[in-house]
Amino acid sequence: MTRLFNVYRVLALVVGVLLVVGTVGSVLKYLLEDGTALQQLGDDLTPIWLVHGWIYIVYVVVAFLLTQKARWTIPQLGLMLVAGLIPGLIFWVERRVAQRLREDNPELSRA
Amino acid sequence: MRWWSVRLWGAHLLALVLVGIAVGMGAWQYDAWQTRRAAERVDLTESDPVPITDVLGPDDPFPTAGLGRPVDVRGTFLDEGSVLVSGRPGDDGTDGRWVVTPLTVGGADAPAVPVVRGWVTADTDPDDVPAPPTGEVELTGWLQPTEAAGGEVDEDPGDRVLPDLRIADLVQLLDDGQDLYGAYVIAQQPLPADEAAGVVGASLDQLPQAGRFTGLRNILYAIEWWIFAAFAAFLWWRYVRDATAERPAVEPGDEAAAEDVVPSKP
Repeated sequence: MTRLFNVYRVLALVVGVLLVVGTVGSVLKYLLEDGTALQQLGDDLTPIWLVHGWIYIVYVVVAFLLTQKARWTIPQLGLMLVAGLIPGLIFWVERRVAQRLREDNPELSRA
Repeated sequence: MRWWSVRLWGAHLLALVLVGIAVGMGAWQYDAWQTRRAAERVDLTESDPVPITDVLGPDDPFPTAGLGRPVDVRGTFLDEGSVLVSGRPGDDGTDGRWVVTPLTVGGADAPAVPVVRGWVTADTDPDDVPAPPTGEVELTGWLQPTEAAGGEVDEDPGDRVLPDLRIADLVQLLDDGQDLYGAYVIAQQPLPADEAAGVVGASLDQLPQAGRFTGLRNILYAIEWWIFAAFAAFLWWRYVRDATAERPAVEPGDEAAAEDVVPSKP
């Protein structure tokens, strides 16, 4: 449980950072004028989405296993999954998940 | 609760929408992958040249039917946009560079298409390259889409040597308002003046092998989307199964479940 929880937190952090970087890249790519250096940077960041997608799949599986162990409902899992798709949301959700897990399982507080 | 219960309709609908979107997005990426592979198989390089304007317009995306197609271009060279593109091995494997200058398609102010005028050895500086002819020229070349970033860093962004032939890089060298096509042309024959100055004809064999990765990316995206579709269907199945279960299994030590048990009458 402790290990799964830690894996979840690391994945949440990675997915969250990739999501923010990817979003910034796409905004630069599509909103700025072609040919500017920042637009180019946005274009170069496109492969981030491929990486984000595959790590997100791992995140989805880990979040599912975690909710199974914690006996949480599917809507709670839904929130955790959506958090991986809306920039910034995952950092808040990860804290909520951590808090709830500690309330349910006091032994995790030492971790 | 039965699976057709009104309270579960929302879950059914959500599952349908999610699975539908994911399957559709996967199919779209799969189609893109197929189209790319089909385009790579079809060899248009030997077909009869057509005017470039018949294949694409200045602001059009690159057509799949245009890869490697011989096109005719008539216009004037814009020498301020002349560059060398590095990393183009010659016929015998020696490192070389492409001489590239945008050529207007039509009048002097018309949108331009970058033209690979020929090949020179890797030690050639931009200053050593002969200036393009002034006045109207007509040439035939193979049409190519703008290159993607090859991952190679431009060691000196200030010089006129680029690691990839990217339209976005060339736009910056030209006057404001000069439009460029989203493609370039590899001249089949070097211009007589260039040939006299030692510029060798460029060929399609000198293209970097970057196309593979973009195709691979499409199929990886497709697989990604289908995994999501399968997972959404799996979650829906679990949710409906749990919701329709007659009575949740009570496990020892499970307080939440124990509270749900109706106490027996005293």
